Amino acid sequence: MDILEVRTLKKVYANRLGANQVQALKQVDFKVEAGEYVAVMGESGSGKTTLLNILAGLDQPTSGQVLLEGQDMGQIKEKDLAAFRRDHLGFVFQDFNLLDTFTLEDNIYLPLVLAGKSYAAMHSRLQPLTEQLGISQLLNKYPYEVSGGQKQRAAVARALITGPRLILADEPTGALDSRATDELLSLFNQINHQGQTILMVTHSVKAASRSGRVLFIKDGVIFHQLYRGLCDDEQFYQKISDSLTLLTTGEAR
Amino acid sequence: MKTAFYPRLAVDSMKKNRQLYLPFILAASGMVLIFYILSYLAHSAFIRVLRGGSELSSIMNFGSIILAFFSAIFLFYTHSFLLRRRKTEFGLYNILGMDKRSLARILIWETLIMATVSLISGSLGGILLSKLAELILLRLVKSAVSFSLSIDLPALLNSVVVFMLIFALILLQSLLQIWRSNPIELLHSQATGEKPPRGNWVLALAGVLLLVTAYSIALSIKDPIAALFWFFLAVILVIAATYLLFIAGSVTACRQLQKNKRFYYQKQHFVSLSSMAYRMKRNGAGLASIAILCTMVLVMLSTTVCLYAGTEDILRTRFPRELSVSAKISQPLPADDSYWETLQQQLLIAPDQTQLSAQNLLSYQYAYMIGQVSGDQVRIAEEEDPVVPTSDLISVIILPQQDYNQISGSSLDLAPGQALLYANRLTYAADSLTINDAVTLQINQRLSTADSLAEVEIITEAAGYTPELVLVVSDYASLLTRLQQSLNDAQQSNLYLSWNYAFDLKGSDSAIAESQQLSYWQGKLDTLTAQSEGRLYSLSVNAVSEERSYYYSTYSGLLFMAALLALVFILATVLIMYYKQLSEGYEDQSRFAIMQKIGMTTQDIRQSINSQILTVFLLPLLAAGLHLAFAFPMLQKLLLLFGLSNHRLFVSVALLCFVLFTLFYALIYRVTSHVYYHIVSKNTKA
Ligand SMILES: Nc1ncnc2c1ncn2[C@@H]1O[C@H](COP(=O)(O)OP(=O)(O)O)[C@@H](O)[C@H]1O
Ligand SMILES: [Mg+2]
Repeated sequence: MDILEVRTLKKVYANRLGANQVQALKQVDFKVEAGEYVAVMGESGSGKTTLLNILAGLDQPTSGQVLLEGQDMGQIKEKDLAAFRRDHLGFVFQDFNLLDTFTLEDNIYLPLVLAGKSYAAMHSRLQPLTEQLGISQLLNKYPYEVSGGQKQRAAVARALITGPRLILADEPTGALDSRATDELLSLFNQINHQGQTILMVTHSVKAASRSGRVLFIKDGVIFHQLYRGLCDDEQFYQKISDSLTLLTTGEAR
Repeated sequence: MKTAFYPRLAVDSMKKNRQLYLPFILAASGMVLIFYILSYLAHSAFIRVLRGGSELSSIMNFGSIILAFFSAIFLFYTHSFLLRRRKTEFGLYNILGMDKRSLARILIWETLIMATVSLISGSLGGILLSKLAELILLRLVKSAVSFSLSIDLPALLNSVVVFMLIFALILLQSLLQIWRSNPIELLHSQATGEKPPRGNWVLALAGVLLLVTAYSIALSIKDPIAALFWFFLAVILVIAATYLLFIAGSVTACRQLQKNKRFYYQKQHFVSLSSMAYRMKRNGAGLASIAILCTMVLVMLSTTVCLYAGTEDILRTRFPRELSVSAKISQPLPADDSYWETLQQQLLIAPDQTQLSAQNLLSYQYAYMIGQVSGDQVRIAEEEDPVVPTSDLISVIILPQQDYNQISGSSLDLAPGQALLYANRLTYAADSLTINDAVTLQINQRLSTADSLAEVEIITEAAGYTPELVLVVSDYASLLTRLQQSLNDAQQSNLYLSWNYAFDLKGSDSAIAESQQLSYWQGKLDTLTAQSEGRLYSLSVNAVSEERSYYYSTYSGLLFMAALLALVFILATVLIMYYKQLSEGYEDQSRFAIMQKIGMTTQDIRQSINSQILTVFLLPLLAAGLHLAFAFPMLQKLLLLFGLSNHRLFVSVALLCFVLFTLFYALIYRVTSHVYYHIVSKNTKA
């Protein structure tokens, strides 16, 4: 069953005068099935964040459709969109986006509080989640008191706590050192094994090599995709690297 | 080229930061403007010549001193805020290779530019508006006005010197700040991980305690002048308590509410409560300042408006009758009261020859003599002319019992030969008193205060130093005859009689209008004195109409000064509020962008922003209202000292001031919160 379906998505940024137009997405089509772990790869400026923002409903496409569990996001009313996003999607950002006025615990609760859940219900969900993520001891700390990796794990907990159908991650390892990156990627594999669907945007081959499928985006189109198949991480890494080399030489040609 | 580098850099960066600098310069100009006006009025020749003009001048002088101190503190404080926001920029310059000496030069130029602009625009505005201010003031005083625009050099010099000093102080502080910091610190000064606000129970409780103490002092003060120390203590305690409660109390309250999980983890409380804690930690001091400024504005305006509006009431209390005439007559004394009755009739012939009638007549007479006391004997002095009495001379005043009873509303009943004694500025212990060996009085009663004699002019006005013996007797007429017979020639001039009338006039309007003029009475008195062939030793008149201008000039001066100071305080409130909104806007910008990504609807965000903003808006106003309410009884007693007993007037004026101020405050808030919304919505689609 498809969780996400993207049909002929196009996004044109125009500045206020309409003079300078930037075509961030030309034509993007792809599907994500339940339980998949998909990485979207591309160079900086290739349109990854734009794509993710549209998927998240934070931005409107110029044309095309995004279907989440068969529902057209474009049809959802502006005022219901936030609630829809909150209930169906989880986000992990490159710069964590934790609120500095909240403890980690309160940061994690935020989407549930907004959804009007009771404290008892929230608390019972928090326990197993934070244990798995290894941040049970840090819950009373404020974001500025913990490391980047710990912040990102809290952000993951915040994304997971609503039990979303799909996790969207925008360069989640971008601001992490290599050890924290490894830890986070293992965590993603772990939750993916538990059945969580993940769509991750990245420009790191290492991060992409841990996923199940890689979509290559360039100049606003998906021009290639790779399935892991039966490869292990290292082999998949190699395959992705090769594709990227091809991509560069293709550009040279 | 090289020399113009720093000024240009200074101008550029000020332009870039005009959102910060423009309001500051405007506020500084406003303060220069008002300072100039106050010192101009203090010097103004038009005002000097008014009745009560010297009081007006000193009120204005006093106001300008207060303003100077306030401006210094306030500009200094807001500039430090400005500087904090600029530190990152300075850090960047520093890292890019600009040494501290160069930074200092930029700062010097910036301060110089700010000072020049504020001083020039402020004094120009002041010069232009000073005439308007003078006109308004003269109108308030109900005096004629003249039109000519002038520049008052001393006032100008005054303003320039005072504000140059203030700017020098500001510069010194900026230089010190730059000198003491290192570049990395400068670069990160705005972004350093802010510690979460912790509730401080001790400080919060101290705040509550201080407030309760201050309020109970304010409520228990009976006589504000006698308890001046307590009065000021209450004021200081209220100020301290306000700061404590806004800074520590509010955060503690937020934290306490956050501990209540049921309450805290609700959509409408969750974000607001945690942001509030931070907001109050950062802006508590600013909000407390706003609350105190609001209180001051309210207190100043309501009391002075009330005094001004109640001037007629005050005059009525002070001078129960429109006119009071006092006639003093020396030897030969008239044989009976008929002399006085004719005098009174002649007094009451109106300019148009109709007879005016005296209403609410209050009349009393007394005999006044100057003598020397030894033991229980008084001898009337033998000087030709009683000039200023020398140290061993005393005054003896004898009042008829009947008049005393009328004046004081008491029912004294003395037997002939008995007397009631009030000894002023001397102790008189003997049981009897003999005057000129002719009259002996048994001291039957003694007064310890002059309260019941308050109407007797000679006693109340005797701000002098002569010791006085006041005697009330029942057999006034026979006593006077005996005294007179005992006088030798040299003593004659040291005994005279005084007859006093106080009354309201009744008659045709024109007659009254004319007879309200003191000059009319002066003419009349001169005629009467001439007719008396030297017997009338002095005849004087006090008209309320004359006192009126004196009172009006004092109270309108107070009102005017209060209005100008209120203007300055409001200006300060606006500026604090503006900077508060500005800094909060920048802080909340990223926060709300995040919340939107997490799934907060724009509606939720709006709601949260509104509820926080409303709380922050209402808190200082509520505090000011509360302070005013508790200060009310004390202020009422203060006004009573001024002679204003019309409590209804005060209540309604205070309420009116509060309502008007609230409207004005709401307006300020609306305008400044636009700044906030504008900044916050830059990153959000809120
Ligand atoms: N708000 C915007 N307005 C105009 N152009 C934009 C905007 N956001 C992104 N772009 C442009 O769209 C292209 C894709 O950007 P982005 O999606 O951020 O790329 P990536 O995340 O892959 O680095 C870039 O050329 C960028 O300059
Ligand atoms: Mg990006």
